[in-house]
Amino acid sequence: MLKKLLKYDMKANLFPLGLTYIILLGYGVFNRLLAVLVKSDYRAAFSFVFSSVGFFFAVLAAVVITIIFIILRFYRNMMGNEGYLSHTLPVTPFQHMMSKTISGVLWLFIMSAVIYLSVWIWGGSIPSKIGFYFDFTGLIRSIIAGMEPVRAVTEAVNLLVSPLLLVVTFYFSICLGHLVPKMRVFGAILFYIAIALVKAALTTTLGIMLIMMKLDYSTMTDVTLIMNLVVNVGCLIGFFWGSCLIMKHRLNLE
Amino acid sequence: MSILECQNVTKLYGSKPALKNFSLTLERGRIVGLLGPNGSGKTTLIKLIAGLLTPNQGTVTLSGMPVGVETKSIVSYLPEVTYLNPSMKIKDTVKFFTEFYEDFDQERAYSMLEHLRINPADTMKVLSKGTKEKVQLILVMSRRAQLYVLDEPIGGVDPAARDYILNTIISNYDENATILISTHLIYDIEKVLDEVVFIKYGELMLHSTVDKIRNQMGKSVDGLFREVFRC
Amino acid sequence: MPWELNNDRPIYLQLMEQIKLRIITGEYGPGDKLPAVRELAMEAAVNPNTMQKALAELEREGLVAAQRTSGRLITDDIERIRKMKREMASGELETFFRRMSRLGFTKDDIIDMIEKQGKE
Repeated sequence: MLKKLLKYDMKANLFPLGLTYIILLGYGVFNRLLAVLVKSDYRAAFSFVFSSVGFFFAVLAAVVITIIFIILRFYRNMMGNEGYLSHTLPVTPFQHMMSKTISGVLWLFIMSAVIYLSVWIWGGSIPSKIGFYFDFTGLIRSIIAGMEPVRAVTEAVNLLVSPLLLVVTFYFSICLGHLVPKMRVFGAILFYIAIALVKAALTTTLGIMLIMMKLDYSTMTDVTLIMNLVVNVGCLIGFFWGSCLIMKHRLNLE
Repeated sequence: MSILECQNVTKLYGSKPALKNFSLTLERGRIVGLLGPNGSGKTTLIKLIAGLLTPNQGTVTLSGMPVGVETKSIVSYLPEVTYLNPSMKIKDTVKFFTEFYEDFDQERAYSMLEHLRINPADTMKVLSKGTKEKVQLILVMSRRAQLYVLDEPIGGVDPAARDYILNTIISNYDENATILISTHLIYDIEKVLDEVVFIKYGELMLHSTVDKIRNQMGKSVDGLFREVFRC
Repeated sequence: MPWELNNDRPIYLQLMEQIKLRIITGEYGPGDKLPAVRELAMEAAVNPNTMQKALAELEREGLVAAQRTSGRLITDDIERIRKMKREMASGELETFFRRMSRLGFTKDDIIDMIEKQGKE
């Protein structure tokens, strides 16, 4: 069942996101061509810089669009009219949440891959006249090289947990918003903000407590990282479970 | 074992009760009309059976099982709204149902679509409202379920379509399955019903066979309804 | 012949009457095979259970017989069918005479009128 749900969740966003990514890649190619043009005609340099700035916003837009469509898929499929179908399938809310979470994160990974690819296309070797050289993998390597194992592992796990938490927080906010009959969308937004505030307050408080413990810098960084990880994992589990509970017992489609 | 058993079911929306101490038992192989005015609790009862709502008090069991994943495999539900993804093609919706429901009869679905001259390559959003409803009905009736629950299937539809829908219900009738139809258009549907359930303000007013009403009270169900629900 | 059913009498009784009518008029000939219950139910736009009940009653009355493999057959007792036809006609006549006498016509008046109207 889960595989089938996953298939349909991925397929649902294939057209809008696929289109967005093709456009982004196309833009990357366009910039690349501009760069080549600059070689032969230095006056094109201005357009190239201008276009590159535009490219930055294009990447931003791609991220926003991806997140929007991930949210939309959940809202429409679980809380909209389609919810009448989804929630009468022989499927548990847990399976629904798993499918929506995994598909959301998969799309985020695809988005990242597309962005890296388009940046790479855009920023391949460019004439040294401009003095512009961008080596992505080298950058990552240098970051990792300087880290200790504990930190590296914590960071890696955090990296994995972050997209999961991002997606699950949206879903949980939507589920919470669903509990307020007259203002479901507005409620979801409020709950999202409330969650962000509570989380910020929590991490700040913990951070202050940490400072008061007067640890050395290295240990403190480690503890901070681990603390953040614990908070994130706790939220991930809590929000996931909370969403399942709401959908199981408090569902009330219009 | 009876296909549906509701015991003292109460469902509140906030403080307002949509169903009050509602008890009902339905046996297999019947076509049952769930009749009541708008807001009487018909849709609430149906959603409880379909698993879209949980009761505040009382139990709903289907074939002895509490509402859950197993019961969803034996209940085929047709809501009032269009619940299919508008950008899906009809043949994709057929595929969807085939994948998620073991009891889905694909051949029957396609033959019904063909009979109505509906093109499976069309997307849902280009269809007229009536056609959308027919497609949904076809999908729901193509399942070999034990309980079909149809929420106002003939409501906003023209008389010819109404006939087609009633015909589909009759022709798909399985003597081991029960069909529960909620409607306020009693006259059109009377001849097809075995039993009726009258519901008012969330309470059970009457559960009787249609013949008993005609024999003992000498009226049509429509006539009795008008009496019982007189404004 | 279209099925004419109304809602205030049990449907199965009406179905029985209508089937008997079809037997009398010959639409269902003696010894003919009846369509399947489901088909008949769809034709009449009624619940298959109800049609089943009507047919079961007709079986009990001996007008219809169920064969093991070939479904249901109309009786081939032509004398019986004729008798039914006569009974139905006699019933119609009774109603007719009753109504006419309520309007004040005697038997002779009625015979006169029939002859005159018959010529037109």
